[in-house]
This record gives sequence, C-alpha cells and structure tokens, in this order.
Amino acid sequence: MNGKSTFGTLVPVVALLAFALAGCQHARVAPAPQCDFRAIKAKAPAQGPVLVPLVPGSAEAMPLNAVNIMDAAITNKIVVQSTNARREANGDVSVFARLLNCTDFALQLEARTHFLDGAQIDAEPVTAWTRLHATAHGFVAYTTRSTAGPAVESYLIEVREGR
Amino acid sequence: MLGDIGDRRGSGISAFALALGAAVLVAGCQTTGVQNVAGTPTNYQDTRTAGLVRGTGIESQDIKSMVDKMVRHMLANPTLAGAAEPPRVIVDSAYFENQSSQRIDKDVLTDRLATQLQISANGRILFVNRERADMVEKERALKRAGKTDTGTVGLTQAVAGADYRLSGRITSLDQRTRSGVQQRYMNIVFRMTDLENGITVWANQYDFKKAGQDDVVYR
Repeated sequence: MNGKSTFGTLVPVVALLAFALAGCQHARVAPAPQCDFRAIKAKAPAQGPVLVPLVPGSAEAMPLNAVNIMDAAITNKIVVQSTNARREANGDVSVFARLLNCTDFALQLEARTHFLDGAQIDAEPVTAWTRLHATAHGFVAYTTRSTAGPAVESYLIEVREGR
Repeated sequence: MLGDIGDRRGSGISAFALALGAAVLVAGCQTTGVQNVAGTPTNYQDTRTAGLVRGTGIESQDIKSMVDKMVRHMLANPTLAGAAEPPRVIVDSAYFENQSSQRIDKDVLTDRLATQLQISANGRILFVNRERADMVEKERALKRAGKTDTGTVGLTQAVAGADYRLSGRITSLDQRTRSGVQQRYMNIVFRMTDLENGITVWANQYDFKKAGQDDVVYR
C-alpha cells in the first residue's frame, strides 16, 4: 500500500522536474539589444559644460551637449545610444542623437534642441518638437541643425513621449 | 508590581511612538519640497503640442514642426542661404495648393514659413513682397508725382525682381471604417523654383498619418 502511494507521489514530481528541465533547455532568444537601466541610474558625474542652478544645490547640474530624457513615462523605456554634433561650413551646428527603444512595443517620441551660445543663452528659439517613431528594440535617429551660425557653442536635446 | 510593568511598557510604547513621530517628521523635512502636481487649468494651449481637440488633420503642432524643419533645411542650402549676394525670394501662398480633404487656410502655413524664414535668415535671403505689389506701386507713383519726397533710400528704376519663388502642395489619403474610425495620411511638399530657368533649387516634405474615432471639424 505504502509502496504504491510513494510511487504515486513520485510520478508527478518526476514529471514536473522533467518538464522544468525541458523548459530550461528551451533556447528562447530574447530580442536584442536588451537594456539594463541600473547602469544609467548609477551615472557618472557630468563631464564638460553644464547648466548650473542660481542657488547651488537647488537643482541637479544639467550636462550640455547631451540628451535629457525629460519624461518619466519613458525614462525606463529608452536609452541614448549616442549623441554628437558637427560644425557645418557656414558655422551652423548639426546635432545628432540615436535612441534605443528597450521595450517590446513601438514607441512614439518627440525631440527638440536648445542651441546655446558661449554665455549659455539661447542663441535661437528652441526647435519645434520632431516626432520619432521607434520600433520595438529598434534604434531611431534624431537630427536637426541650428540657424544662428557660429554663435552656437553648446546644445541640449530634450526627449519626451509623443503626445 | 504588575502595575509597574504595565507603566514601564506604557512608557516604552510612548517613547517608541515619539521616536517614530520624530523620524517621520525628520523624514518629512528631508523631502525635496517639490509640489509635483498639475498647474492651474487654463484655456490657453501649448501651440507646439496636440491640444484638447485632436483630429486627423494638420494642427498647430504640425505647422510649427513642418515650418521649423523647412526653415532649417532651406538655410542649410548653399544656393538659398550661402550666396555672396543674398538671393531674392517670394514666399507666399499664390502657388501653394491645397488638394487634400482637409479644409485649411493655407496662409497659416506660408505666413509662418515666410516670417520664420526671414527671422532666421537674418539677411542671408531677401524677401520680395509680391502679395502687396499694389501697395508699393501706389507709393512709387506718389513719389514720382512729387506728392511725397523720395524717402531716405531714394528712388529705384524698378521694383525688385525675384530669383526664387515658393510653390507647394498639400495632398491627403483618407480611409474610414463603417464604425466611424477615420485615418488620414497627409503629405505637404515645398519647393523653391528659380524664376529665370525654372529649376527647382530646393525641395522638402513633411508627412504624417493620424487615426481617430472622433470626427473633428476643421474650419
């Protein structure tokens, strides 16, 4: 009686283990690239020019020549893969940012750029929002160009979720 | 004896509650103080963002975005903005057509484009006002008739001729389900054409697709 009962208990346990092992062996490949936001949270202090608040400590220093993801709705959804700028022949500045959609869903983003002069004053009005369509786990590029000529010394790209 | 224990327990609990209260108070003092709530409601809307009424046509945020894109691209064009002598252009809606299904005052587009381009060009391009040619003619006639003096810049043999002129077209593709969901693709094309040889020296376009349940009326 006891032997039968033990056997009866063992069968489902063994079956479960076999199923679990089979599950472990299933080589499901996750879509790449995968993101890890812990590295972004532990970000290093800004290098290069920053916007500092009038009252020291009242706001975080905002790095310039960078991308600021200003919308809490997407801070853990997209990663800035790169940003760069180039001085054009006529003195204007072209800026570029490549963003990665870390989610399994298509995202709509909007980006705009502040172009600042050497005194960190806006050299021209902020650009209009440009809508970007980021496919799941895909890169999306944003680019724009200043119109104020050599006056532009730095830039700040802002990104929010598309509305 | 038991009473003493009770008293001691009571005082222990009170001390714990006090410490907890103090901790909460201190923690409260340590918050950033940001009042992170929505602002006072207003009927003003941000022209750069989709507003309360959202349809499937061209809206203010589209106009701002497309004009911004066109202005920056035009100023990056060496023919238009890099010539030693600033070229003269006409930017108005005379040759800008609306073939789309949306009713729209096309001047809202070309006016903003002309103004924004003139601000940003800052002398690199000269703008000829052909829309108000009659206004110029009247003043020229008064000066030549001796009814007014010649102004501060003197007389010219003729009004300025233009080198380039804006043309363009708004087109659309509409789809609608039986349940009333509407989808619209819009494409807006801008061209700048040489008024002597007919060559298009610059072109760009802006497009979008929107879908919605509500049937918003554009006036």
